[in-house]
Amino acid sequence: MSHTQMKLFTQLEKLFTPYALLVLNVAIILAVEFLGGGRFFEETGIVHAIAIIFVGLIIVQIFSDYAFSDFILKRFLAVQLAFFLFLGLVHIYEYVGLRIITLDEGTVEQSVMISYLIWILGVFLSFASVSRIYYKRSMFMIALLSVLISMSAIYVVGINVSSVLAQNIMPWFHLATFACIVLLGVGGIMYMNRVAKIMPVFGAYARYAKPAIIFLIFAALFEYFESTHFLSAYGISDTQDLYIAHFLIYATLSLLFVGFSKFKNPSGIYEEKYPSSV
Amino acid sequence: MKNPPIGGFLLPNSYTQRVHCIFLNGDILNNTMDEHRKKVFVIEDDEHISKVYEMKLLQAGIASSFEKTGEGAVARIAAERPDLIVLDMMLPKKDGFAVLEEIKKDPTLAQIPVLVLSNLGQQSDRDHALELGAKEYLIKVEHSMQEVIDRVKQYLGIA
Repeated sequence: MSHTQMKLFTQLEKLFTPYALLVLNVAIILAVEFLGGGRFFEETGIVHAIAIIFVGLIIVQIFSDYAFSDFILKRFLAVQLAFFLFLGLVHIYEYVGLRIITLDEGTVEQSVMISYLIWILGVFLSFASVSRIYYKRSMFMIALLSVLISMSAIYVVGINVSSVLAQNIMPWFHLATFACIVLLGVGGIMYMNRVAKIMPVFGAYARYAKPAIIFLIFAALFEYFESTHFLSAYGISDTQDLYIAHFLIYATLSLLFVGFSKFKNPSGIYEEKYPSSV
Repeated sequence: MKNPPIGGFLLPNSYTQRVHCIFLNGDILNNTMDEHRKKVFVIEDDEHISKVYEMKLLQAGIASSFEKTGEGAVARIAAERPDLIVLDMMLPKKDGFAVLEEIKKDPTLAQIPVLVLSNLGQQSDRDHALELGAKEYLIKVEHSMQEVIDRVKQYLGIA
């Protein structure tokens, strides 16, 4: 990447401060809830397509200049950023799947839930690659996580390709997926705490990534409610349920964006920069 | 010893350990041949940090050598005999703890002070490094580069 392109990405990134992202999320909520009588974004599917804004931000993060170039932190960033992009693209898939290809709604919802699970497994995988320096058994964990991620990805592809498989999704599978997201999400937060103690350089990032996981768990909860129409018994429409799930996932992506930016200007010796002109 | 420029002669200064070049017209060119400049050997795989180290050490008038991995470090240290070693703990192939242990087991290298600068932040890591013979253990995100350079100068006996 050229110096000019890097500078452009740096300028773009400076626009999206935590406050700017907060304003963006509030603007999304207000637009979605009030434009077109509160149904426009759902009827057109644009509530899913908003994810493209965040995919753009994720790409900015991927091509940004990070403070470290040591082998462990580079590997961690590479894995995290890859899964971050995957999480952003999930809702583009949701829009394309529901509005353009017109896949079965249940298939798309299940795919989204499994994708959240894949992202959490990816968080574990990135931290396992760091804790390898400490615990030899992390190799087993890395292998196990890789298998689980692969199996989940194959399942997602399978239900999207095979209508037979999609039609035979067991009703309890949605709940089981959500339960796994909760358990692994809580586990992910605990694991993150442990690694941040081992390496304080992760502390600033973890402060944003942990609430991001919590938001994602609640997003999955509302996706589950949507698939079961659970909240309609309490007077909350499926449309509102859909909106809440998306507000929560956009908040997740925003928090992760801010978290990654903390790797660009860590404290201590990383504050001193080598002049690029030298 | 390098040859002086034409029209000058060398005057070793045993007090400052420097060699001054005296021109026949009386001008003195100081520090042209500083044969005893202090040297730091840095074992660090992060290129960003290494570049900053090099710049700051140069500004401080300290010579430096760099090695990215733990594997070749000890052999180079034995060859170069630095005055101080700055050691990262998270290195590819052979970690900093193994390098530190090897340095301190070698009687010809054990006297060289080792300053550890690492991302590992647990007390157990600090204690382990100090037990292995490190002079000091600094955590990268807790100390500025200037603080590190000041520590280096302190261990080298430079004001």
